[in-house]
Amino acid sequence: MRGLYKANSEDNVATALMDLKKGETYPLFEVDRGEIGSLTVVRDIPQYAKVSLSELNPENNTRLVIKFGYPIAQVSVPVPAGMLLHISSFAFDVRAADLYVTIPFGILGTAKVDLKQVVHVGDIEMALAMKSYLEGSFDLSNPRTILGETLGHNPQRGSDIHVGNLFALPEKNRGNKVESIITAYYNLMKSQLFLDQLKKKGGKQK
Amino acid sequence: MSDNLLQAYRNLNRSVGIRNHILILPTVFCCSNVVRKIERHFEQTIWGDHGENSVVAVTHGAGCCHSGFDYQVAFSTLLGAGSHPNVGACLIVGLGCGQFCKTYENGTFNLISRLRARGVEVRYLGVQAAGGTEKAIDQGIVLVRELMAVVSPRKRSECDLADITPAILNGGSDPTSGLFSNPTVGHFVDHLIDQGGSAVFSQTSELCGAEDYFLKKCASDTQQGTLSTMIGFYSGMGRALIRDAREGEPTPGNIRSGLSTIAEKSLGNSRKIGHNPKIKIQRILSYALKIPSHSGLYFMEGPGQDLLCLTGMLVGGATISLFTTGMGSPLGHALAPVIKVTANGQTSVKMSANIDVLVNIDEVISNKKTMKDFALSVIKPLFIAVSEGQRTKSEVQGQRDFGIRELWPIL
Repeated sequence: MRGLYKANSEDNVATALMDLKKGETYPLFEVDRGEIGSLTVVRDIPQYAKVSLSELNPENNTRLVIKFGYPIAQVSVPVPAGMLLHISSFAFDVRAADLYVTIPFGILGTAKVDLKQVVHVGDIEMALAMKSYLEGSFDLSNPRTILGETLGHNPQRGSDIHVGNLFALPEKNRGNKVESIITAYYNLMKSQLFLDQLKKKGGKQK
Repeated sequence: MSDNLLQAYRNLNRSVGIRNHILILPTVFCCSNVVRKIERHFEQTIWGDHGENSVVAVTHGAGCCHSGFDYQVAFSTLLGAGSHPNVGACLIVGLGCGQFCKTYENGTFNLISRLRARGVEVRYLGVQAAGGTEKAIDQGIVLVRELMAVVSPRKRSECDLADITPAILNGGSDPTSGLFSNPTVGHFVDHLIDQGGSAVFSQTSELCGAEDYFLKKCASDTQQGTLSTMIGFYSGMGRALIRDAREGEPTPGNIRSGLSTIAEKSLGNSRKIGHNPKIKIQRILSYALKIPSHSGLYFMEGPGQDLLCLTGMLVGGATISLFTTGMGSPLGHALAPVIKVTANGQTSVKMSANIDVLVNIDEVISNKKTMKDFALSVIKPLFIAVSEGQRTKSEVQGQRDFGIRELWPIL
């Protein structure tokens, strides 16, 4: 049986090498060491998903998810050992707040969600997110502040949203200058202004 | 060491090639039809012990109306392709009025004279001068027959494993890539460099998120600074442009397969360049420029897109490619064989026509055969066999991809 695999001895997550069943115990393997123990998973885990090996908590120093010996993400909610870990792009969009949206949950499944209700999806993630949203603890002017930097955009009606219990790590402040130059150039190319400016230039030459 | 010896082609310019192709290289996109038809005429003509050598035509969308640095990039790509170690002789097909069609002067951007200076046996066919498509094809066939007399007497001679430089890349990543296939290739890269060889990797966009790892892997502060600037440029450009496309890294396919963040994906990718902390990135190279001849690990700036980054590394002098994949890819290249490595059992069954090596996960996790064992007992012999002429899946399928990178607008 394949069970779970740890890519580095310092990791606090392992990868499921096959579909795992809730409540069952599976062997845990580590690179170059073979079988090192076992783990009971607390929910169904799809093949190749990540599973926490210990408790993780956003409030303390167990916030970081370590894979390959390096931090790859941080948890957004308390996570018990044996839990599925995956990214969330569930950033609230004010414009989408009163809509029904169909949400493919990445590897978690698909559901239709009424954003006005507290909806339990999977085990925890959505419930917590929805609850804090309804309690008004979200900063709606910047919806991403609560759920962290996500996939880089706010979902709109009908767009893919992944729900999970991880945030991406804050991006390094590199390339901001390049970004502004390219954004400016790109916007210029797109805008009518670009054509207008060309016309004006042509006019002056005449 | 005797098990490092292999039979390959020694070229006049001291490079070592593992194929002896005749390359038909158009300088401009409008000659694509002519080169394809000449190639088709020689479809059945193969030579070499495994029938691994043939008349290979490439096509691309460049060669005219370039602006900015694209002119230089397109030129160095064509120059690197024509003088590639795996190319025994080269037929340049130009229209007559394109940016690289000059034949009459010795300038920086005269492709023919630059190729001759690199010791390449080269012929030129101008479509306008020949009098149109049909006459050009007829003349081209005659010229290729001439080149055939040049390449067919060439014989393989004794070379060393260290003479063969692989281009390392990955595409269609899933969680098995970072866990198994990339580390296995990484162990082979460690071994190759340890034996005095070189390896090159690219895909700047796939470094984002694992900057710390790659910066630490650089041999000097200068190289670190260069790499840092390159990553900055890429992440800035990515943020500026991809935000609009509403899709970034990791891709929706990556996320569906279980990869959560760009850091996770990039760290998984980083396993393919080796694990030995003593091996450092010797130099950060610009796209499509020549890879230094002394031993070591090199990084070439390039796009995440498989074909263009592979083209960049090959025209830089890499002679073979090791390609790790999770979900599978049919990619092949006109200039060099591509060895596909996967650790995803389903992929290797589903795409058996495209996958060369399956890393057996069950043996690896139970520690019966570590990934290092696998690299030395499976990847290395295959690497040597392919270098000696055994055809890879992509060669058998006749997948001969080629492309020229463009960053600037075509004007």
